[in-house]
Amino acid sequence: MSTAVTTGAEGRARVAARRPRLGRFRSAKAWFLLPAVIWTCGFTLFPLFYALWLSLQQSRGMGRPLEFAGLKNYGRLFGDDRVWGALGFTLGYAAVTVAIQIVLGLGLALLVNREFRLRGLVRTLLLLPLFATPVGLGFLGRIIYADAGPINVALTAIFGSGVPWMSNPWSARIAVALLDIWQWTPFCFLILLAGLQSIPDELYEAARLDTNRRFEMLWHITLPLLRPLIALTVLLRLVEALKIIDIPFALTAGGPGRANETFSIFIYRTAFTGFDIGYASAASFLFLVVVLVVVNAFILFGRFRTVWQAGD
Amino acid sequence: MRKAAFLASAGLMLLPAVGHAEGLVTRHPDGSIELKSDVGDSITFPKGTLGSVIEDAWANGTKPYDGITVSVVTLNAGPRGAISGGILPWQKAWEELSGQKLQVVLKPFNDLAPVIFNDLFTDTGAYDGFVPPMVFLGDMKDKLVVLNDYMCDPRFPKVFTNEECRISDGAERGMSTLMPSMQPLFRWGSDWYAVPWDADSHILYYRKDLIENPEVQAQYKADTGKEMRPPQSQQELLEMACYLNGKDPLGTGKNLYGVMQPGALNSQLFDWYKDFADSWSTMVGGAKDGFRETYHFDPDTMEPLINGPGNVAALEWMKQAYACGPADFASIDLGGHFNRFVQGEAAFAWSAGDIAALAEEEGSKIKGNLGAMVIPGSEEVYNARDGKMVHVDQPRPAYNVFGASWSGEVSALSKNPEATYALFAFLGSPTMRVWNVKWGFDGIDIGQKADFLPPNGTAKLETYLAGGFDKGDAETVSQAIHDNLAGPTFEYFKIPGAAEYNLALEIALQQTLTGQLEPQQALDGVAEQWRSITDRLGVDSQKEAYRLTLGLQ
Amino acid sequence: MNVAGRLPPFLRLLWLLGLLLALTIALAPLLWAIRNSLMTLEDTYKPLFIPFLQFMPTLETWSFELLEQSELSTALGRSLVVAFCHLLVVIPIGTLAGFALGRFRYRRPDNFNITLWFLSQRFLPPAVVIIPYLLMMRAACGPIALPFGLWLPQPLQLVCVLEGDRNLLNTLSAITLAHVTFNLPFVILIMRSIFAELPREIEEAAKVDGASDLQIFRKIALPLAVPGLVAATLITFAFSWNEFLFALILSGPDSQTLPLLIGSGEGVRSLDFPSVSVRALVAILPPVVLAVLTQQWIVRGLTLGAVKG
Repeated sequence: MSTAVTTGAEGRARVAARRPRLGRFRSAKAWFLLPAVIWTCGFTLFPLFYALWLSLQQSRGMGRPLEFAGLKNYGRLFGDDRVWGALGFTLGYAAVTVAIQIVLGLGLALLVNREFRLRGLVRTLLLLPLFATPVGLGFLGRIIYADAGPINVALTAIFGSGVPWMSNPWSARIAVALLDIWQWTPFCFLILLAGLQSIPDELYEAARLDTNRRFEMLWHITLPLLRPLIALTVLLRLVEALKIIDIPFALTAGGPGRANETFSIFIYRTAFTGFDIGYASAASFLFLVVVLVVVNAFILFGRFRTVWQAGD
Repeated sequence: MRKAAFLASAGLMLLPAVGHAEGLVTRHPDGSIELKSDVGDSITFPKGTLGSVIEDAWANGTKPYDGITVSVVTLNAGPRGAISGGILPWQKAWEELSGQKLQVVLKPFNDLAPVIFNDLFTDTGAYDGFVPPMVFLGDMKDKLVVLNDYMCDPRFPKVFTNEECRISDGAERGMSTLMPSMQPLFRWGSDWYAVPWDADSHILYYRKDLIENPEVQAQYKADTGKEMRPPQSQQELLEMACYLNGKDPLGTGKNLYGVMQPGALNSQLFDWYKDFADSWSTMVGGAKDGFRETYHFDPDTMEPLINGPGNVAALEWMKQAYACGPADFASIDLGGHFNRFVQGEAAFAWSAGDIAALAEEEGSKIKGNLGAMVIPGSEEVYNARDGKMVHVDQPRPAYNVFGASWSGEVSALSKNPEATYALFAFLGSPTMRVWNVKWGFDGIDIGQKADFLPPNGTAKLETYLAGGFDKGDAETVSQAIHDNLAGPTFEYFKIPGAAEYNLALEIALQQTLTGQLEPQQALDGVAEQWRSITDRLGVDSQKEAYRLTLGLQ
Repeated sequence: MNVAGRLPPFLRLLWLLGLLLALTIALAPLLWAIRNSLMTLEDTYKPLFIPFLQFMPTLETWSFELLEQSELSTALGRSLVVAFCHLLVVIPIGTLAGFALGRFRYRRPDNFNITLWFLSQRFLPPAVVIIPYLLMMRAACGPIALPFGLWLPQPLQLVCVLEGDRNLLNTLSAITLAHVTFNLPFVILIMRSIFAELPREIEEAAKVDGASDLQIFRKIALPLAVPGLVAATLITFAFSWNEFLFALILSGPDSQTLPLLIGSGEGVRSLDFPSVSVRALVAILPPVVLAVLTQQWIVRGLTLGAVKG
């Protein structure tokens, strides 16, 4: 004990002697974080304030200057069915797709997390969907879901008739969701696999003394250890899923009608087809607030705050 | 010795003329200039047609726009696709001709508007010129160069004839070159903003091997007691289409569809609706009998007319028509619509001249069987004075309800407006038009007077045949488009915010077609949205703009 | 890692089936793209599946896209440049910040809030920040940037020098800068988690020996975090590789990246399925190559045996 203390004091003295006096910036705490902070401030503050300013303007079309409109755009938001429809759909869509992706991703990670030949190959193959360009995927989806496409051909062979996927709001939503899940499950798989790999074997060997049952080991060791990483994955996916635009836009352009109009698509259309950028900006800030609420709710609900609080 | 020197010096003097013979541009001794496209053929501009700047420069062996870079943005359909296929084959020849460096930036169809908007709104000016659809004109015009003076300036390639140039009023110019109903398209009031190029006009295509097939006709008569003929009304069209839907009268092994129309978003769904809905709600020249003459708004109050009884009935019709077509219509975009009709999958389609061009290409299954006509009118028309739908014995077509009509516009932010205009004038010149008519792939649809076969125009049948057209099809299409454009002018919707109004309509249409809304409900929603758009953009300025596009001052 | 040694035969079969099913689903759309790329446009509309049996495959689209046209290879090159340059910036900055947030304890604001702040940069829909970005890139190197120069990051100034001090429109640098900004939160969040989970014992020991934070980071934490680092790199690479919106607006004729090229497969005429499929397949290659090259590092971390006893 005393040895440790003495060594510690000596060590600290040596460290202190080596480091120059920098006042508040003495420790690495600031320096490690500084580049990221400076970059983020530099590139996101102006756009944020500009967008805020835009939200207070009324756009009168492409060619004419903006007019100051105060909070009129925000007022308009609250009476607009389109806004709330898109928001509701986006929240539901994100919740469902992310939940499925996590479960499937975890399942895949567990499947792959064992020694076998061709493991590297399998892992790489399972990652492929992540690298598919969403735009190309949307176009590909159009043929895949077409009347003469493989899915309908298979359905006709089994059930006798296919589904006109894009002509029905719910089938179109399912079609988009399927592509989304296909593309993003590997994301969850990758992160969770990295997490699983980091769990040392010793823990399992120690646990084997208590029980030989696979399921209990999974439930009592793997999942709790993986919990922060699962939380992280859900969070990252949720934030992205709420903003999704590429896949539904390329596949259905938000249709049929407004069935697949995610909030991002709504904003994009409002800004660049309607040239109503003031309103689009205001809607974006509404969205920002919603996402903040959702994220905070998730973290509080999962009691992840303390987990994230941990420093040393 | 002296003879040799003479020959040598004569040779050297001729060198400038001969010197340009390598490469794609050749100046002939008589002053005409020949350019080779990258398709392999060439066109020749007679002396006087390319404008003094270019011709004088070439006479002196210099390049007229040396050192200038011109950036133009347009639709991306590849080097053999619509619109981009009209510019790209000539890019190198133009660069050689003008000395410019020409950058043709291609953007996807759905993304063209955002790119243009961002460029103009932020005054970035990354592009010297645009080749967009005319529907954006109301929004873009404040940032575009007015072309009135350029168009008759002898320095530039000729677009109008000398007689037309003597007319100083922009609103009256162009009547000899352009069909009367096309003429207002490229200008705002009396200011011209675009060089006429593509001429979209929507006509009804049908399969001659079905509709004019005696056996099919006999069977139709036997089954329904009615005559099968090129439909004289939309109601007839619906009957025939639904009769043929699901049948296979020609024994091809695949059942036919009645209609093959796009149902996807971003495929101009609003146009496919307005194409026939207009004759349910308006009658040009019918105001004295109480019929409306305007389609979108009431020109006195700017009140939307989109949810009137005529439009609702038309939407019901559209639902029935689409029901007699593919079930996955919501995934049919423009490409699917063109290709599937040309592959013989359906009996009817209404569309722009692109189908005519594609039908004549290799791989088309309907070449030689292409029927074309003006989109017929409706037997039921809404009478505003009496406040109800009335039956009309002689359905009157609404004639041309325009499509996009892509044409070159010069950005006011450009540092080289003249060089940019020269490019567009080159592309829109009569000489180039002959090439456009010949090659269907370039998507530059026929519509100017010179494009039609006699007796309607001055085009030669050989030009069409050289482009691969079937003789009968060429005559049919030329006649149909001419008739369409020869009718009374219909309003072309290009007021500020046109894209936004159209988007609201498009979404509502798709919601109705897919069963999410009822027609009246859907169109009421559209009217509501249109009102709020008009309010936001300014009722008075919108009214003024709308009346201007109608020709009412 | 074997949870409990070999599986009993029944479970082993299930495991194998599960894996096969996953592989099939993962690869099916890509196989479909391969099928399309070997057909002519008209044929793609028909329900034909097996090459040589049901249709004659043709390499015409492949050769057209890769050999006769330089569009695809140029766009490929540009996307590579953007993705790699952006990695050069985003990985170091993000990893440092991730380590800091995972290891150090901050007060006012605390770790949680700082992390949330970084994450919140991803909350705004990109469409709404496009216009300010356009303005920023346009003003980037001109006189108007001077007042901003105080807080615009130095890298921006450096980029201006590299680009010859004209504005940044129509340059790949603009796209790269945008990508760094958007992907930074990912790297930070992922690396934070990885570092936070590392066992402390070795670090404590090193501290006792007098190692500085930087040395601990470089020599101890980083090697242990390699699997997570590789995962973050792959994901970030993919995000930059596939990014469409900013590439669309910030690009000009000289800076069209690959997603734009793929996105332009839809013309007024038709969605050119063979062409889009070829491009999409070519687009998927570099990330896959990267994944293959780095997959050996997504393995169990180096042994922590040093900690025993």
